[in-house]
Amino acid sequence: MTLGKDAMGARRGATRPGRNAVRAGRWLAGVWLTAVLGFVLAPLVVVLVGSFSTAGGRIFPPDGLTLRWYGEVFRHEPFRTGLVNSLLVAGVATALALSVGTAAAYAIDRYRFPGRTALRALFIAPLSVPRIVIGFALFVLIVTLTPRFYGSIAGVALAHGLILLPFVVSIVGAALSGLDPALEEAGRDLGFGPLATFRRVTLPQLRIGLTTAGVFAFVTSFDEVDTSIFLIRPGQSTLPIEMFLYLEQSQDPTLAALSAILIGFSVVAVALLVAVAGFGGLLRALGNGTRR
Amino acid sequence: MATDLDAPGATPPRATAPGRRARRSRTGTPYALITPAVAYLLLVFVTAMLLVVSYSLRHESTAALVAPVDMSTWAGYLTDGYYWGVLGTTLRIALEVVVLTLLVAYPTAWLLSRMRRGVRFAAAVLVLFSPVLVSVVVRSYGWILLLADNGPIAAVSPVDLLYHEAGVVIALVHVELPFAVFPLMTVMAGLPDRVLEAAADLGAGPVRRFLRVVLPLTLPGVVAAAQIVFALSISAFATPALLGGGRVQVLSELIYANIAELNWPLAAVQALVLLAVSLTVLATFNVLNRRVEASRREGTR
Repeated sequence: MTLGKDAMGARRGATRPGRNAVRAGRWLAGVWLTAVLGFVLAPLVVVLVGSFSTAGGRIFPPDGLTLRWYGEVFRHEPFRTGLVNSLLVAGVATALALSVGTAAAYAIDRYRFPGRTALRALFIAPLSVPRIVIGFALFVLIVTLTPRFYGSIAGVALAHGLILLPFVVSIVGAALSGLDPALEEAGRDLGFGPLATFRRVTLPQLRIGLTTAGVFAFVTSFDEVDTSIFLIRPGQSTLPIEMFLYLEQSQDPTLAALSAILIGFSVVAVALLVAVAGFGGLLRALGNGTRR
Repeated sequence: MATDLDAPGATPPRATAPGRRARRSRTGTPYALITPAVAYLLLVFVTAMLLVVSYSLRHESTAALVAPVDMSTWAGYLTDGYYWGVLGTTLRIALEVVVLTLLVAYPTAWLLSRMRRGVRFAAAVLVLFSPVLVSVVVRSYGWILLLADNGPIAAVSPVDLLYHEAGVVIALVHVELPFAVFPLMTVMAGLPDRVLEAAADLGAGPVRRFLRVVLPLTLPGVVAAAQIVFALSISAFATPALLGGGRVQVLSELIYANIAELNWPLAAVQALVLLAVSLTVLATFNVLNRRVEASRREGTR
């Protein structure tokens, strides 16, 4: 908390605190921020460095450097199937949440009808439920009603869609409320039907919102552990679950190599968001993601 | 959650904004658009939650839709000291994580909110928020390597870290930090420098300026941050499971363990307890938030 005050002193300029106090404040602020960013990056850097470690015993700091663990990642069969399953689940869950969520967000933003507020609360509701509870609830649902779906891609995707829906409704809803409905009216005046208006007028304007929501949803589903762990069969699961189970058994650098690859994917996702939606778009997406 | 509804996507329709006309529907269009989402939530989410309640009222693990009502699982749970202990550990860890996260997040958010919007700001924000997009398993693994007995931190640490509560808490603070910085930064960015200058001109020293001006005005951000971090920490699973190594038991781990042991009714009871605790926490913070907002409005009058 002291730092807040010092920074404040720095902002005040030279009027009240002395020049030295200002300089000390700036210096302290810099040290604090560096330390916090160091704390944030530390586990990721350790994983990156550890992925080149020769020894299986002590991974960090490494005794020597090698690339062999990257080969091990691809030789480990469960990681390969896990990757394919994760991509499938994330694709299906994202498509589900985007289509269903965009339609709902559109209706809520553009129409006034009874029950609208209650519906919005319903769409946000899954956010208030711990993911582990959602996972268990979906497990119970599937084994009770459709046991054939237990362990299937569809079952896991159905659970992930629930988690993604609130994000999609709020990100796309925010994007929709920033649009000018006059353009849609113009579209209708030009003789477009409702579908054509949506496809040719609204959808192009929603490109950024939809991409932001889509990338964020995909990454969230791809990384999800808490719900998936209840819904998979051993040997036929998603990548984060395979990693979780692997970690419970052993901690050799194979996992570090895989983690390094995944960190690389996250960097690509961030770059993609910044490229499409700009820095502000990324912040908004993360803001929606960090708001529960 | 009231705080959720303040999200941009959830703002009330700006019916007064010029050129903005929401259509009052006389056709079925809005219902047609909203039906898939509602059906999805009712058929999957609501049905599943109701089934959890039904499973908690059973004694044996059956996958039957209907089973005789039996309160013995609840009775057994509520009278067993071990389960209360696990609940206590869960809440204690969450509380520790909230306090530590806020202590780190508050000054960080303040410094960021006062930074000039340039490359350095963008870089700092990117570094701070990007871990949200990195799998929690990867981040936990990083902490396992860092906190390991033969790792770089254990040598200088006075307490045991890995597979002890301290390690779980450190890793959770790391995971939850962005979730705390964001609401704090939003509130702080809305606090003009003028207010601080006015306080300084009135003769308030730095301590007084912080305690009498900055802290009260940023309290809604503190409440919002604490709410999110608390809710996420009590229900965290992967991080405590991996960093606790089975030695640190929290509620979410018990739910998972009971599935593996095929004790579904007990898992259902624990899931409902976790849900109840989590909803209570959210509701308490919502009340707190309303109080803070009300007293702030009172103060500015």
